[in-house]
Amino acid sequence: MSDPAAPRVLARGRLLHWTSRLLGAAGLVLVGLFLVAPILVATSVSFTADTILAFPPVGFSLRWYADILHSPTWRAAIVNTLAIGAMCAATATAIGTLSAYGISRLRDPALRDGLLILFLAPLAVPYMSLGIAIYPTFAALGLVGTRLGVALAQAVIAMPFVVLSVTAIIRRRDRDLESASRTLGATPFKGFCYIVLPLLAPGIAAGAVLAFMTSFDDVVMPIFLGGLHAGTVPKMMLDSLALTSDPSVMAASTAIAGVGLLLFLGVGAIRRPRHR
Amino acid sequence: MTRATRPRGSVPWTWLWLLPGLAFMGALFVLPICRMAWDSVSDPVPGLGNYAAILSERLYLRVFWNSIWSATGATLASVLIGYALAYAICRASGRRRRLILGLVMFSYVVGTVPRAFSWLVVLGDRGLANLLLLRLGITRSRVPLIYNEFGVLVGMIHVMLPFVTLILLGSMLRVGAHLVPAARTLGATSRRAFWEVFVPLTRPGVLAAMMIVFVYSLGFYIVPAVLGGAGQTTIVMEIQELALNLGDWGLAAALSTAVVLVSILGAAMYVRTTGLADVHGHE
Amino acid sequence: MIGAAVTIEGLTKTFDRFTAVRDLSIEVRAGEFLSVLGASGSGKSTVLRMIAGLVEPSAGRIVIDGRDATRLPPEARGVGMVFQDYALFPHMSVRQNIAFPLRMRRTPRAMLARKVAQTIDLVGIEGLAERRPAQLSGGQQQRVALARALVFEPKLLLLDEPLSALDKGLRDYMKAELKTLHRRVGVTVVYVTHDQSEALAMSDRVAVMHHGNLLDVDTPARLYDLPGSRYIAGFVGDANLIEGEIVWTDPDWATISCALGAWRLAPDRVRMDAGSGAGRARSNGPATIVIRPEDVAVAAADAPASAGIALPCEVLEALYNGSYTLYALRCQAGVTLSARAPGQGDARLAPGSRATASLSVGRSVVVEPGSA
Repeated sequence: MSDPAAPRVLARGRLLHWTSRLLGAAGLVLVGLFLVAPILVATSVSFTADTILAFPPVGFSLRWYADILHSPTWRAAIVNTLAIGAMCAATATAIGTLSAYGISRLRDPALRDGLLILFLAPLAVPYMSLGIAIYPTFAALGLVGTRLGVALAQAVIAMPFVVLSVTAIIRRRDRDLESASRTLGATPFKGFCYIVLPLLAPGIAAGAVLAFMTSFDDVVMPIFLGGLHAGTVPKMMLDSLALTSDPSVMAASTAIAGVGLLLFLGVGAIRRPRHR
Repeated sequence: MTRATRPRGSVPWTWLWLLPGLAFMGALFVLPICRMAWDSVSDPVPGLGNYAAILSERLYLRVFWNSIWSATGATLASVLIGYALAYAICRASGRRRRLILGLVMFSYVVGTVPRAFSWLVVLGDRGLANLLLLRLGITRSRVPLIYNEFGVLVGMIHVMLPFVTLILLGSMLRVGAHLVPAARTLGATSRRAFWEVFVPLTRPGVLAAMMIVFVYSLGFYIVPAVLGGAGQTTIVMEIQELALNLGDWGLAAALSTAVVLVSILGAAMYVRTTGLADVHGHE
Repeated sequence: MIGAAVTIEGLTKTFDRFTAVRDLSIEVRAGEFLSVLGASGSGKSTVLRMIAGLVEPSAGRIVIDGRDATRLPPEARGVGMVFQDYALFPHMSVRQNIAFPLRMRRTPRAMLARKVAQTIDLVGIEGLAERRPAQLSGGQQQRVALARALVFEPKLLLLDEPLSALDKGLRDYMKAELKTLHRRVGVTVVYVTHDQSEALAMSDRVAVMHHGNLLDVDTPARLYDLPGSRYIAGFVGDANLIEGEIVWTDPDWATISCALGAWRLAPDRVRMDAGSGAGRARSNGPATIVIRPEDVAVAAADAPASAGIALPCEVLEALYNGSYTLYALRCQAGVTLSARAPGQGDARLAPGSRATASLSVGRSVVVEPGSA
């Protein structure tokens, strides 16, 4: 079939094809910039020598980082953040791992799903509501204004990530391995320590890092339950917005971003060597 | 064949593993929320007075409206952009895929706090956006881009986009990779294959993602607090105000309970549509 | 060493409403190699797991080496087990895997090293000791699993379909290896499989299970030569099953009649009651006649009859299998028979051609009609 219009149609089709591909690529670049550029901008501003929060940065200086490291209030916040993060990660990881393991051993799928929903429920509840809910209980226990209080509250929010991480790594085969260890003379406890834990280790490690990052990122619990003495870096950042408008808050912001990035890369490195 | 793989005598053992978690969740999650719900109908006086106040006073209605408005806007925008982004990741391979995925993950792991604050120097009066607008001659004076709805919206979209993209990507990957090529062999152009085969198959995933993200965005605190003005008070900010500053515990509890109910509803609908299959991993 | 004797009485296992194992009783003799043969869902793996202590029986008793082990946890039973997918610990080396049970028993270091080395030699995996399971082939993994289960010198070894993941050549090789190993070590072996050739090749006795019931326990030769029921006849080897009638006209001979003809049969070929010896019940009535394909000779239509009853038939299909050819023959009264001929069979016996089937009826077996 010979159609005199065919070359034109083909040309138009090809033009359309290339235009849409160009637009697609441009769109991708724009979205990529949208995602990444703000952080880069903020990072650059954190190195400004000027005292106002403005872009582009003027000069290059580390004074804002020095400011934060020298300021007693910021230092206390940094120590708090690290301590609370560690406590939160430890609690969430320990309890989350045991729970994920326990859930995986249930035979009834309805019960399994039901308990899984219970342990994942904090994902669906806004942090603020949880903070409000926990406040009276903690007030009665004297945990308001303490690092432990904030850490425990954050552990509730962080635990679902641990449960998800460990659950994803549990395979049906693990149950056979545990059975095998029993026939070889291991008590249930030894089977768990020697066989199950090592196999779950990557998932547990990833979960621990996620828990730590969740704690790091959370500003609601410190605001609600932290009081004066258990404030974290994010809380101080919010407070300092009202007090000053100098770029020190960008330095803190960049520091937090850096930690998050490092932790993520660290998890990536942990997950690489797999025994399967 | 039914394989009884459970080691002997493990029924009491199984619940032993679950005991710490159940105790923890019970004491720090279930009971407190129940107590809060109870407080909402008993403080300061028993009854539904708090809820009546919420539904009648202009201030609270305004706050509800703010939250729902920004949540809806942010959800729609981020789902739209996220869908395109997820699709791009889905279709790309090798280095390109890793690059885009890397950018998404970068934005995600940096955390909500740094991201929210970074917009201060992008949209602020002395930030990047205004700089470009003035230099390029598009405007004559500084445009207020933060401390208003726009700033909050942009911030919310920025924070939500990676999250939405990953959810949508998951749902797209579950669509069989051979379905679109099959449609092509049956005569569909790539455009028709996309709209008539791919998109409908991702629809449940998209709806589920929208529900989750909407609920998530109702609970946003940092972004409206940093990037919003007085008129952008959201529900959670109001809860904080009531509880910490005004000491009106019952009202705060009522608002909070309402938000929790809506959130749980949304999450329940999500679980209904997608199930917990993506959680169980490699069974 | 002499392995342990195992006595199982009334073993039953019910899951919710499903009975996996029904009232199973069997005596496993010390040092014997017993196969438990059955299809999927027959309950054989459940029985094994109950012996190992991984599943709690709903009823019944398990006595291992004189001790009532029914309530003992698996780690206290001293029973070695090899799982279907080997269950090697992926995060440990071969050596660490094999050493594991000795570590659980707090074996002193010198003795542990010695026993591990001895067992590595025993199963033939020298040189692989430092590798991880993922770096081993299927056959090698299987030997490691065996080594691990034998290193602590258990008196009872349980194997759950250990050869099913291997390809055919390796499987045949391993059958010989396992048999040799059993002879050298002397441990009692309970071997679960759905593959009748494995059961026949290695066992001292074979227990056949079906839908949770124990149908019969016998030596491989008797099980094949004198199957106790339709199911066993069909499951262990191929069989032609023909409905007919048995009449005891004579105390020394039974008269069998069916659509293919009638003949006399010695009483020891009558298994009207599976599992309780041959020829006990002598009542007349309907029966099923079992004739193995290798007892049906097929020849071209004009050839003389070779044995027993000769029947004219039509060749429906010929399936070549390398060492033999299986013929499907349609005989009188619509009965279809399988016949086996060595090698490529007869070229004249193409599908559609006429042939003569000769039945060696003296080798037929009579079992309960229509029973499982």
